[in-house]
Amino acid sequence: MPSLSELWHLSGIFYRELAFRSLMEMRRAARSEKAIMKVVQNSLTSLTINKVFLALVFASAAVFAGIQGTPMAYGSYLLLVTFLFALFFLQSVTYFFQVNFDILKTLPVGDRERNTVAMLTFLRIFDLPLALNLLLFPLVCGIAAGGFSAVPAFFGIASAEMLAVAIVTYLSRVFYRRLASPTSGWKSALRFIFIVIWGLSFFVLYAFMAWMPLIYARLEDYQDIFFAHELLFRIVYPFSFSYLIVAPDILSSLASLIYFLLSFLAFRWAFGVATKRVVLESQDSVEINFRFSSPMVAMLRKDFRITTRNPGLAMLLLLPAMEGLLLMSLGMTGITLLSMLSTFTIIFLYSIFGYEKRDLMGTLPVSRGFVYLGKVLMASFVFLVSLILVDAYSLFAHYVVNSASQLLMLPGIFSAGVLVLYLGDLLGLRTSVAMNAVGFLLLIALGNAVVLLPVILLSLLTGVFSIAVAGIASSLLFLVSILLLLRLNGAEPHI
Amino acid sequence: MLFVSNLTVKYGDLVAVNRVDFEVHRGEIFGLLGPNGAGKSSTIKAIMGLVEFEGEILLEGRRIGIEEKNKIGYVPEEFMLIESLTPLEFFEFVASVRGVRDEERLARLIYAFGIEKHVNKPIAALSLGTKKKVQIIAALMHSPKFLLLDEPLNGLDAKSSRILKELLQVHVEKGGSVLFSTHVMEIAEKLCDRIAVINNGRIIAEGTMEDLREMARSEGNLEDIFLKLTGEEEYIRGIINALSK
Repeated sequence: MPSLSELWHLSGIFYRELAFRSLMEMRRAARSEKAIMKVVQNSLTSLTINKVFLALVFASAAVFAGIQGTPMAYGSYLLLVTFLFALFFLQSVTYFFQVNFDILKTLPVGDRERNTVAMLTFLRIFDLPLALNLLLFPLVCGIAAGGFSAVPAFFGIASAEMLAVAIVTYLSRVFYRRLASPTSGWKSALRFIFIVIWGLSFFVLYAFMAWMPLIYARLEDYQDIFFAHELLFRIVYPFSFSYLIVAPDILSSLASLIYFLLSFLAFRWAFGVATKRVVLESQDSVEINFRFSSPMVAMLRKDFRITTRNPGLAMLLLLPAMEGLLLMSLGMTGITLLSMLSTFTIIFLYSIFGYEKRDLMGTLPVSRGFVYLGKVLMASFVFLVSLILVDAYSLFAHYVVNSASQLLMLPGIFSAGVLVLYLGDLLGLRTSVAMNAVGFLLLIALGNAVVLLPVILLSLLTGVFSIAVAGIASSLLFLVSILLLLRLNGAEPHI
Repeated sequence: MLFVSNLTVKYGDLVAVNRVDFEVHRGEIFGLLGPNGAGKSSTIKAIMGLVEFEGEILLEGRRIGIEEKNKIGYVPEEFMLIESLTPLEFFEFVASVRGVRDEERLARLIYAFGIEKHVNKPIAALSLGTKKKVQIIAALMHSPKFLLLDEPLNGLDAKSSRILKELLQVHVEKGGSVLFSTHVMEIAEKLCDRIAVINNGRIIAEGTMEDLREMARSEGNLEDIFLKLTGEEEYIRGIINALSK
């Protein structure tokens, strides 16, 4: 029977697999042995950096709560730990459910040991922030509110963490089922929403960092409400624990005990299901109906399905519109905004191109020009939708919309897309953005130059002449890209 | 139907296929037989245009360009599937790109290989055998004249294996051709009209079973002939002796 240290070592191997999966998801285009090795080497470092970052955020928030020393500050901290913890680890725990521990069944390892390895791997996901919180929060409370306060603080933080682990486990299982099960119709739309939330969850920490001062400023505004309803807050989670730290009474003690027991039960459930594989939702169908279409429609439909079923790509699909709206809300307009839109569109274009099964395309009667056209049409559509959303926001915010620039940019993004894909292939940059950062930055710069050239000409020159010159430049670039596509019509898609 | 002349495939310094010549005639199943790493898959990939090569490959007298791909049904050794799609979505995509509109044939293939219960599940979640069936159906859906099959029976259950073998016979009876790679001697012996033995990237023998027997001066089965032709009989005897000690 393997010892606990051996099982811990085994769990490390599975944790590395989990880390690899999470990073590989973002760099699916990595095909060469060298590129995949790079992902293997970077995956663990990447997850560790994120955990250290989260631990630091928690540590600073704990110290801040200690300085304030009020029940509201302690309660807010515990609330923050519960939900930030749950959201931050949503992606990692979803990948955890994809790791196949059954491989251990082929080794002389019993079911009990297999479960222990799964549990230890599960614990490794949270280890550093979890342990740091358990130590630091009682310490801060002990210093700020007296030595005895460390005990309720420990139970408070333990409850928050156990509850967070249970929440993230539940959500991850739901998300994994939703994300991995292809569906059609309204269920597809629902899954897309799930994917967006899942993708955004990782950014919640960074959003929190940006909004932390605002949140704490707002908390002070609610002090009066807090004091007016003190009796209620003494029994509400997690404030019962904060009263137990600052001013314990029978009500907060009883409520805290109940919450601790409930969170312990929830944690036990989470640990129990961590060893069980998630059963995917699928339909056993015997009725077969086909929807045939033209080759290009089939290509676009396939790419749309791949995009909406992949969290990384789904995020990239939304990024131009989201960034556009965010930057506008920060006051950015004009060419700078448009260049950001085209940059994110080119990133999406190159990423969806990286996902293309080019060997498979090589077995089908399609040319490289056809593959390029499919990707560029999709990227152009994403750009158009982003422009429409940005324009809608401009109208709402009473900004001036430069329709002429935008009209000139539409053929521009098409031309830039074709050129970027062609040059990327020519330079051998077949992998993803992350794998070829320098080469890709050059392509983005070139793509932006193509998209923005007519717009810059329009702004530099004046009168009708400027529109004519910009229009000719835009048409010429479009013509070049069409000629290039025609030339590639006889080329194999994969070499 | 298929003419391969002086075919050479290189991966860097490694010569995977070295000046290989053979022909596959109309209405015949031609077997490419060889151990792992002999150059079978590289030969097939070159025919499909998936790797760069030197030499000449002609299908019905024409170089295999994009248009000719519709005449070929290809089953690769490694899966070429889109794992986030369901089999149904994958078939719709391949059929649409190939211009196939024969729903009935596609449905019949799905039922024949018994994957009707799996058509709405993600390909990623399917077993290896079911994935293989998806790949085979995708290769057969457009009724190609020429079938290019790289170890197609690997991972298939007995029923599906039998169905595929019967389908291949029907295919050649109707005037189609098959190039079939395998390392399983029994399959090659039973199924193929002619066999080419490939080893270290070179074809060392080619012909019917009778021709091969003559070349090897052996009355045994294909396995005996193969080992004799590749000169591995002595090596195997040595290994077995060493292991039995």
